[in-house]
Parts: sequence; structure tokens; C-alpha cells
Amino acid sequence: MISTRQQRASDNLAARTTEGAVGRYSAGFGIALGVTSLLNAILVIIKETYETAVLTAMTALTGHHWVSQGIIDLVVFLIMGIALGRIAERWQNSPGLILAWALGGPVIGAAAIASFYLK
Amino acid sequence: MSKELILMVHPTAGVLAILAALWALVECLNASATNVIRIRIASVAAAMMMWSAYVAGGYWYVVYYGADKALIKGGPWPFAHNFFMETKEHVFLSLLLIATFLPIAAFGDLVSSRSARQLVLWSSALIILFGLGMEGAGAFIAMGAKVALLAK
Repeated sequence: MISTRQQRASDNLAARTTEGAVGRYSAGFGIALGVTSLLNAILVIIKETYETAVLTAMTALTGHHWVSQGIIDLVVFLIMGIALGRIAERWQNSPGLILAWALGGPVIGAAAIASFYLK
Repeated sequence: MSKELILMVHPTAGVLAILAALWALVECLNASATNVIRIRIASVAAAMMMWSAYVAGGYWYVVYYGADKALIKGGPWPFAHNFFMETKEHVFLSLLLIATFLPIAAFGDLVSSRSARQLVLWSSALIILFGLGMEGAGAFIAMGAKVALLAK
């Protein structure tokens, strides 16, 4: 008879000794997260640099430029995540690539935004 | 609900999102068939709390922040808006996407795939890191308004 503690230790051991691919939507949305975060940073720099053209247009879209930016980000993230998820077989076995996008995109994006406003 | 209470919902939900992400991270360090359900519950909770913080803070920002912005920019700490608020409001959008991604990653095969667990671990860590940054930036913004009022 195996105790709960032994079973858990056995589960943990099994869990730590395999690599494995990531799910198709984890892959698709992971890449979409990175791309959208970079796009978010680029959009900030463009709208603040070209206030009269871009910021005004984004404000006119919803009544507030930040609301427009949020909607653009979410739409891009969802559409790209679903689309990439459907063709994710080619990336599912490259978890390093997905991790690089999912982590690198937000970190680089945040650093770019902070640097932009620090100037 | 008064506007002050709406504003309080924003950091409160944000802190709860950070705690839920921390819960997911710790559970994921010891992922097994016995705790995978808790990782998923924590991940969904983190996403829901982050969305609550977004809706409450976003509503307050769009509707009420204009007066505070003018006050802060005219006070002794204009950087509380020019740097902290501007950065916070835009990085938050990225944080919202990470929090939305966390449950998607958590519903992967966490028991047998180390890569799937890594995605959950690092996404949770990013939520905690960015979330704490948001809380700190919020403190600067509140202090910016306070010192502006004190200077009057």
C-alpha cells in the first residue's frame, strides 16, 4: 500500500525528470504575448512622438487614447494567439523560443517604456 | 460607490493578483498530479484579480484622474505623473496580458512537461515583479498628489 506522501514524492520525481513540449495554445499565446508587449511599447513611443496625428486619432477612436491602446493590444493578443495556436506544431517542441518571447517581450517592452518617459 | 472606494479596489485587487501568482509559483515548484488543480485555480484567480484591478483602475483613470494629473504636474513632484504614471499606465497593459496568459499556460501538461511548468513559473514571477512595480509606482503617484496639496 503506497501512502499519499509516497505517491506525491513519486509524482514529483516523475514530473521533474521529463522535458516535453508545451501545449499548442501555450505556444501561440506565449509568442503573441511577446509580440504584443513589444507592439505596446512601440505604440507608446509613436503616439507620444507624433501627438497631433497618432495621439489625436487614438483619442478620437474611443474617447481616450489609453482605452484605444488597451483595445488594440487585446485584439492583437487574442487574434495572434489563436492564429499561432492553430499552427503551433512547429514551435511546440521549441520551449526555449516560446519562453524567450513570453518573457523577453514584456521585459524589453517595459524597459523601453520606462526609458522613454525617463528622458 | 464613491470614487475613493473605486480607487481602493485597484491596488487591493492588484495585491490579491500578486498573491495568487505567488501561490501558483510555489505550487508549480512542486508540481504533481495532486496539486495541478491548485495551480490552475491560483492562475485563474490571478487573472481575475488582475482584470478587476484593470477595470477599477482604468475607470478611475479615465473618469477622475484629470484633476489629480493637473495637481501633481503643478506640484513639487511632477515626475510622479510624468514618469511613474505614464510608465505605469502603459506597462500595466503588458502585465494584463501576462496575467491573461498565465491560466492558458497553467492548463498545459504540467505534470509531465518541464517546459510547460517553466512557462507557468516564469509568467508567475513576471506578474509578481511587474505587480510590485505597479504598487510602488502607485505609491509615488499618491505621494505626488499629497505633496502637491501640502504645498498649496
